[in-house]
Amino acid sequence: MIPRHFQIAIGLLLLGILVSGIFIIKIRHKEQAKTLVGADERPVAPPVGGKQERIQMLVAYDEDRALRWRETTVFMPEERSLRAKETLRALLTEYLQNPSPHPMGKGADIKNVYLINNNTLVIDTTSQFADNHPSGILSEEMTITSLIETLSANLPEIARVKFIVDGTDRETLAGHVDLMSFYDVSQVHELAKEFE
Amino acid sequence: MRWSKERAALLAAFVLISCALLLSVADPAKQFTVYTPQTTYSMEVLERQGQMYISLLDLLGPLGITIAPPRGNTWTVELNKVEARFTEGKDTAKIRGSTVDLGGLVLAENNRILVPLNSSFSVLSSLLHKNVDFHPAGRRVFIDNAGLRFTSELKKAERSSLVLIFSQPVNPSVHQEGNKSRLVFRREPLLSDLVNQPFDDKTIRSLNFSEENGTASLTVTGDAPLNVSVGSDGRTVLVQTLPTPTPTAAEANKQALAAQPSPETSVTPQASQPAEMPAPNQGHSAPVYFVMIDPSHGGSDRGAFLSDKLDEKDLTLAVARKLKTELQDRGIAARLLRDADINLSLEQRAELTNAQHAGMYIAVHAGVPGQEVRVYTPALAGAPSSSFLGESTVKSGQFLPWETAQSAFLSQSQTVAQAVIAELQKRDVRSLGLSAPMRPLNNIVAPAIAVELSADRFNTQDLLNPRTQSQVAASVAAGIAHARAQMEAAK
Repeated sequence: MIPRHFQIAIGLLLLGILVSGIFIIKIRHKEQAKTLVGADERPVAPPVGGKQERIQMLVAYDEDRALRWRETTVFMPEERSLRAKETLRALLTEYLQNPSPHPMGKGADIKNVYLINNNTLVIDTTSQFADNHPSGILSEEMTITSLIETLSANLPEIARVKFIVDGTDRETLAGHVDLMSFYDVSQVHELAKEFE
Repeated sequence: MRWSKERAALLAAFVLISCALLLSVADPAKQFTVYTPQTTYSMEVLERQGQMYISLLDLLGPLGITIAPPRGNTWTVELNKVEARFTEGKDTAKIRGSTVDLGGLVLAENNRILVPLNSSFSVLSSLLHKNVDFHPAGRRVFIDNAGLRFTSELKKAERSSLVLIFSQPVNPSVHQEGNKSRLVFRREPLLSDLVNQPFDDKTIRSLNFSEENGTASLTVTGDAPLNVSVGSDGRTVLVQTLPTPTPTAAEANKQALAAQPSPETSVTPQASQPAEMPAPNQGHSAPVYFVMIDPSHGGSDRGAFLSDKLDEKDLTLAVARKLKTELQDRGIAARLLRDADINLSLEQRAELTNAQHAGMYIAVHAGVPGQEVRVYTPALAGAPSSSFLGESTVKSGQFLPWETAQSAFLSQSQTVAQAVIAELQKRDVRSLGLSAPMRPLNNIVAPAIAVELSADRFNTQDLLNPRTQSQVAASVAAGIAHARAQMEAAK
């Protein structure tokens, strides 16, 4: 016969193990949730100051080697350069989803846009946008074309676009497509037709 | 005394010739050259107070360093929030909070600031915090381990040849001075530990390396005039004595007469006057048509990551070699821009192609996704709309904007692309014609296309199939041959 005080001690010990087990599992879940939030490289939600609007996006689909128009709803501010930024970020959000029609490296985002003379836009991207972009002529061309066409569909007054990466000029996006030149939007319309 | 028109003309001619002679013997401008892994630039050296000076803006501007307008007599230089202060009349500067000895006074002249040439080492190393190698005698400075090395090998024979192999493609200018050939490297960061290497050979005697006035030179001395040629990869330079010409009957008679004992007999070198010519065209009186094949990427630039064991740079080289053989089999000369795993910037690729006057440029690429061969023609991002698909003409010697140098050849590039696609289709290879705003295609002054082999993400090993590669190479070569014939006929 096991003495009573010994039974109580074992019971308390088992209860302690159970409670600490539950506590450890809870902590682990919390940490995992934190890590997931940190690893989500999609652009953060647009500012809430604007109205919800439907915008047109020309989305790249790698598997079909095609660009297709789609609509989405985003919060759009009044100011034009901010509108341009949010339009571009909406497209990048699409590309950063999993699964993605046109996968892009983590951390790809638009840092800033600069509107010059009302018709020229300089797009400053994060370094991850170029550093982590899949290398290849087709993939890079589809990215540039879809970004410029999406921009042009929602801000038709933009005639020329230039990309800079983390505030500086970069020769190519990921080894192939030119980032040094200013893109004439009318020329990009011609490129987009090839992917219809 | 009244001067006749003839006398006046004679005097004018004498004055002109004297001026030309004076100018020709004048010292060339003193230069200082900076080499970085990305670029090479030179600046003028000025003599002030018995010392050599350079402009601080010329030295630091190309490195992205800004100089703020002076406050009083102090100039502030900034790079990535790091400041340096130079004060006119002082022989020290404050860089990153430390005092740096400049070895001479800071001068201000015409709203620009001058510093002693010998201070460039301390200024650059303190400001950049990178390895700086200063060669004061040659007036050259190397930043961040920029450098180009070479090896030499003497192949002994009746006509010995000296093979110089460089770690990167080079484009020296060649000066012939009697039995000496001097290769001058103006942009290449050529370095060498040797000064003079004598050879125990009858035809090639020695190889000298020297640095002066911001350039490096290699001088090969032989016992007769030498011929210098650069290999198709741009990295190999071959130096050989010129073959003795077979005398004609009349020349043989002259030689026989000249060989008779006579105190006046002397040997005249074939090239007694110094002559400068671009190395790639050595020995050719007319430009030779050839196709420049560019195996894209290389060295640290791996290109597209096709699989764990396959990088784009390796595949492009394999296909480019096959394409070269296919072209040569069809009687078309071809050169590879790189024939090894080396770094070549996009600018260097365009420069080498344009400098060697290639008749056509083919860039080889590989990527995912896809199951076809994609043939790209250039889309000129920076060109006005009219030249996007249009064509202009290039006059000889005309300057062309670098960004849109291709614009005059767009129509010919499209002819080549169409011919290549037609040949691929003949061989049942799936193909797709596209245009892309790509470097260096946009900078090439010749018909230019890019050929991209593609595969699905999970079947990239298909790209390694030698049969596939040969089929693509054969199609591209046949397309080039066809397009060339078309273009020749159109001319």
